[in-house]
Amino acid sequence: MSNSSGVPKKFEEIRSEIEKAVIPHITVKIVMPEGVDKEEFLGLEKDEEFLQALSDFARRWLKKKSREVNV
Amino acid sequence: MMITIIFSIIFALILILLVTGSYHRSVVAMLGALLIIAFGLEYGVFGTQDVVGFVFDNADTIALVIGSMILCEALGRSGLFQFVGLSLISNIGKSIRWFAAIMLLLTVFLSAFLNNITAMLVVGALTLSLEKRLEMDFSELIIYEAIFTNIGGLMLMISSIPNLIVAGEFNIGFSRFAVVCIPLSLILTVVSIYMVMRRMKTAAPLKENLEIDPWSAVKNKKVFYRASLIFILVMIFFVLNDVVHVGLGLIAIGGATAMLILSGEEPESIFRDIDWGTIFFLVSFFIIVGGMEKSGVLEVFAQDVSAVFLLIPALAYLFTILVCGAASAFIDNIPITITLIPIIRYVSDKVGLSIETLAWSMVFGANLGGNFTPIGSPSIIIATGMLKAKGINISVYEWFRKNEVFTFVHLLLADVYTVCIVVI
Repeated sequence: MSNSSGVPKKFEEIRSEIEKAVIPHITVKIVMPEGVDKEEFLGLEKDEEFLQALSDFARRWLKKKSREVNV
Repeated sequence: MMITIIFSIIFALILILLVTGSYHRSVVAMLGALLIIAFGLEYGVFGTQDVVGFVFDNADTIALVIGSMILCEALGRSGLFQFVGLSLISNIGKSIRWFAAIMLLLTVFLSAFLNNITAMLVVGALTLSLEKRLEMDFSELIIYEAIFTNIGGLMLMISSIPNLIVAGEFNIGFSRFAVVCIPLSLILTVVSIYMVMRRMKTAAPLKENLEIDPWSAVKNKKVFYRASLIFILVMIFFVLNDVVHVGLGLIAIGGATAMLILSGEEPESIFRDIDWGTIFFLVSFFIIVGGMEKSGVLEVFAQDVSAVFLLIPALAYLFTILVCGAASAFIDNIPITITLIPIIRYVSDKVGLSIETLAWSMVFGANLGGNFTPIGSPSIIIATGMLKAKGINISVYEWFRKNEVFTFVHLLLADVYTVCIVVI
C-alpha cells in the first residue's frame, strides 16, 4: 500500500494533454460582454447548445477562411 | 533486553500507523526513525556516526531512486509515453478485446519504465479520454490496468522501488535483473490478458476505428528526441555497469543531470514534481531498520524464521513470496522489503539457502501482493479513485470476488517460476 497524495493535480495535467490528442479541442477565453447577466453568462460554459453553436461557428469560420485563401 | 522490547513496540506502532493510514506514510517513518535514534542513543546501542552510516551505507540505492525519479519525470514531460500509447491504439480496428489487450500491454510497458503511480495516471487518463470520445464504459478496463501495473512493476530493476532496493542491496546488475524478471513478467502478462479476454467475450465492439495522430501528444519534438536519447543511453549504461561497475546510483544521477541540462525542461519544475515524500520515507526506513539490526531485534526474529526454514528449507522461497505478498497487500512494499533484507541475509547464512533466490522471492511477493486488496498498491487506489469520480464505488467484497483470482494465479505462477530458478 502506498500514499498517493498530490496525484489529482498531476492526473488533471496528464489527462488534459492526452485529451487534447484524443479529442482535439481548444480553450478560449471570452470576456463577458456589457449588458448581460453575470450568472447567465458564466452558465454558458456548461451549456451544450451554446457549445454546439460555437463548434458550428468554428466550422463555418474555417471554411470561409479556406475559401478566402483559395481565391 | 529492554531496548529489544522498546524497538519492537516502536516498529509495531509504525506498522499499525502505516496500515491504518492515519498519517502520511513519510511522517510516520520519520517519527519512527526519530524514536529509534533517540532510544538507540539513550541506551548506547549505537552512536551518531552509526546513524549516518545507516543512511550512507545505502547511498547508492538512494541515488538510484532519486536519479530514476528525475529521469522518469523529465521523460514523462517529453510526451514519449503518451506518444507510445497513442501510436499503439491508432488504427487497431473495432475489436474491444484487441483494444483491451493493447491497453494492458501498454500498461505493462509503461510501468516497466515508470513508477506505478505515473504509469496508472498516463494509462488511466488515456482510457478515460477514449471512453469520452467513443461514448463507451471502460470502468472494468481501468481496474485491469491497475492490476497490470504491478506485473509491469516486476519487469526491470527500475520498474519499482522494491526492485531498486533489492538490486542495490544485493548488487544485482541491470541485465541479471532483466534476465530473471522479464520472463516471469511476460508469462504473467500473457496469462492475465487471456483471463481478461475471456471475461470480455460478450463486450460490445468499439464504435469507431481510432485514428489519432500520436505526435499531437508531443509538445516539442526536439525535447522529445533529446529525452528519448538520454533515456536510451542511461539504459545502455545500466547494462554496461555489469562489466564496468561504476555504480547504478552514479549512472542514474548522471542520466538525471544530463536530462536536467539537455532536455529543455525547467529543472526547478522537475524538482518540484519529484516524489520527495517517498525519498524521506525510504531514508527514514533505512534508519529504522539499521537501528533495529544494530540492536539485535531483527536477529531475534531472523532466528525464529531460520528455525522454521530449517525444518522445511525447500519451502523457504515460496514462504518468502507468500509472506512478502501478504504483507504488501496491507502495508507499503518499501518497508517490507527493507525490513526483510537483513532477515533473509541472516536466514540464508544460517540455513544455507541461496540469497539471490530469496531476493527474487521478495521481489515477486512485494510487487504482486499489491493486487490482493483494493488498498494494496497506489495504482489500485488511483484506479478506484478514477471510478469513484464517475460514481462507481468498488467495495472490498466486490474487489475480492472479481479480482482475487488474478492475485492467486500470479502468486502461484511466481512460486512455480521460483522453483524453476532453484532447479536450474
